[in-house]
Amino acid sequence: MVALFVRLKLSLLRRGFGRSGATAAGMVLAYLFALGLTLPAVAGLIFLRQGGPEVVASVTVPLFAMLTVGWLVLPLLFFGVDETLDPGRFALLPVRARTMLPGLVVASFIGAPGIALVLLGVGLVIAWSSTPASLAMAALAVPLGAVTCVLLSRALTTALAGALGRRRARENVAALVAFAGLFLGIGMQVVGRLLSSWVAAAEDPAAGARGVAEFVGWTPFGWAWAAPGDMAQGRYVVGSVRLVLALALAYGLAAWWRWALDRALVTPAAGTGDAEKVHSSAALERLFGTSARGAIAARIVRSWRRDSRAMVQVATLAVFPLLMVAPTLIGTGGGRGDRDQLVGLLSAAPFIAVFAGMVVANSLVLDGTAASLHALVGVRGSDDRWGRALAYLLLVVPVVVLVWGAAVAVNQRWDLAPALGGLTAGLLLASVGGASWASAHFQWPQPPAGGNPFQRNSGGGAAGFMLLIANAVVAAIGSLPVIVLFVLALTGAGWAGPAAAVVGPAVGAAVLWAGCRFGGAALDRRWPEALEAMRRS
Amino acid sequence: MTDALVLSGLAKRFGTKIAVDNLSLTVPRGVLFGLVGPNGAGKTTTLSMATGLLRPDVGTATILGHDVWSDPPAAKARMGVMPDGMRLFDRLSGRELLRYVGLLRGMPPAEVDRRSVDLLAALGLAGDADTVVADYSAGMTKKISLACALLHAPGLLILDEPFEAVDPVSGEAIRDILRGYVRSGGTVVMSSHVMELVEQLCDGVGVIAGGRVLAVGATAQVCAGLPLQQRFLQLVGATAGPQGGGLEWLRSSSDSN
Repeated sequence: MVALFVRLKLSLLRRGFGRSGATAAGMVLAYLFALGLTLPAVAGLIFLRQGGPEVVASVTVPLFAMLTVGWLVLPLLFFGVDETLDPGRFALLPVRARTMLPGLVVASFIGAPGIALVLLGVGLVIAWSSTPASLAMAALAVPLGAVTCVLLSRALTTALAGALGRRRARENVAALVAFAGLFLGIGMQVVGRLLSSWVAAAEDPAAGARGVAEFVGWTPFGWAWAAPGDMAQGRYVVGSVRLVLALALAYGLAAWWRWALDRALVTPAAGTGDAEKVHSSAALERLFGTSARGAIAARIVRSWRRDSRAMVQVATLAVFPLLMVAPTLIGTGGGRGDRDQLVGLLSAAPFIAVFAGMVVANSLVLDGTAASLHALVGVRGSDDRWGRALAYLLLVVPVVVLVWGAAVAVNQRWDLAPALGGLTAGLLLASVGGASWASAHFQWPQPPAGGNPFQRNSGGGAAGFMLLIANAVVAAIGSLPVIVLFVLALTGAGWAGPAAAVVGPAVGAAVLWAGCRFGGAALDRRWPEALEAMRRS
Repeated sequence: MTDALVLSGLAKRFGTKIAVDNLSLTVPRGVLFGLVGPNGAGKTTTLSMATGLLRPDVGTATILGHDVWSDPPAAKARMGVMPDGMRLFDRLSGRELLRYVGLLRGMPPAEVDRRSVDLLAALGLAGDADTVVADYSAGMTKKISLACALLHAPGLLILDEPFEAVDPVSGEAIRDILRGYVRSGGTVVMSSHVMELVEQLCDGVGVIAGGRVLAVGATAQVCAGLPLQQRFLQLVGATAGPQGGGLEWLRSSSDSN
């Protein structure tokens, strides 16, 4: 079974690379990106070996514990769990979870994140090779820690996906998980702040760092990673206790996953439930009109509240300022004045503006093949682009204005208001324009709203990556003038603020117009290809 | 008078597999035309190329005199399509979906509402008009999809498997709608797997297999005195029933192993 799953995963991967054009290029880029992040880290680990066991422990234990948490959270938040080997697909075959489990674990290591984890693990084992005892323990504990990472994320997603039958409940859980992940992100920042301030407060920073590592090493995320250090420092009993704890954790997770898998195998994902009744108000139509463009905008705003995927995206934007401010607020803890600490909030509005473009960029693939209606009716591509852009502007502009006003007011930086407003407006319009153009060129199959909330086809990441880059390039070029003016205003040029307030929206609007115009023309040309790309699975 | 649908020299290849092979087909106006063929014959591929959803490698498709690929707006305004294998905007209710389609087609809102009420009632969806399409059953989804195709009273209807998963009562309603529509001068091109249905309902039949047209013409003419089922098997070169010597192992219960 293990060999079967590995072969399956490998051939899926090979086919991904074998695909033509953008998809293959995107996959190569994604892997280069992953390697570019991982290889320096591995080199750092090997170099760390010189520093002695205490240094290795105080650096690697917190880092690898964070990696473990990240392994649990990041897929849910950003990438989606690669469910090419979705247990649901095996529901009709006479297999038990017990026989599938090892294969699924091993197959999880194939793919960019898995390979990165393995490489980092090898680096960690080398870092611990200074004493025989620590090397032996690392050879046991590091693979155990890596397997725990996989088990952690797979067990959770399988359990959540399998436990729910009703469409609406399934979607709500998906939204909840995404939010929990978001706040976990805030939580981790807070913990990071607290720990680092603890280190800074200690008389001897190195001792503080050791304390942090010791503390993290006793959390479930750190058991496996801390065990080799104990051996290196001669604390054989403590190391063994941690190894046993780590083993128990992995065993417990495996048992939980097995239970969830067995349930998933007998509970088909498509369940029936209460039908959802809706009534639409005429307000949206009064706002957008009854043209094709207006109908598309109204439809997106309307279904936004009914589609957990889209709702999470926009809500994430709204929570974003909190993400940026929370650590500063917590980290203050007295000392310098609160007002200086909230400067971070000033950057929130422009950040939301940039991310709004990414949300618009995903709009077409969220529709998926339902967008074939636009092709069948012969909706002009530019109407499709404008409809999407207007809908998301309606949703995002209030958030941006609110955050902009709050940032200026809280920091008492009224002098920056025009420049910041111009920058935000310019970035918002340019990134939405960039998205309108770029998303006409890159599509991928997105799991439908009612499906497994954690599923994501592996080809999607690559096309999505290309879309992100294309969008970012256009947005960056389009907002360059206003960025320059904003920097000038920051450095004290009095005329630059009002100039930014004019140039930002003007250039941004031009980029948006061009994005919808040329993106629309591209869509007119390549509707069949776009539909084909969203259909392929 | 121009023909309703003219496909000429259409071809499509997916990798090494030829899905549609130099296919030509003409459907005159005012007929209910059935397209039949085994699985993988190229029915959906052909209809997708005729409706502008899939780009043919070569060949042309003409709807009521307008080329689908060189003059898409004119061709698309004249046909109503129910595609197969495409999702719907299923976060909208049935009523909202119809209104959306109507506005995209540039119809006056009041007219859209009037026709929506008629269509929802005729297809037995009036009670579920405010239910989101995501919660519709397979048959209801087919019916709302059909309503979307009918809304702008097109000159040509292209329906991929319109009767699949539809219950007998709704099936009868759909037959009545299609017959009435053809009587008033409209043209229907539909694909189906159910030979009895096509034989009874359709004026003309096209049999395709391997991406080619094997026979086309008035239903009686294609049938040549046989039931369509028999004639179809004859044309695609299959014999009825399991062929001698196959599947013996299936006859013993696998429990005995």
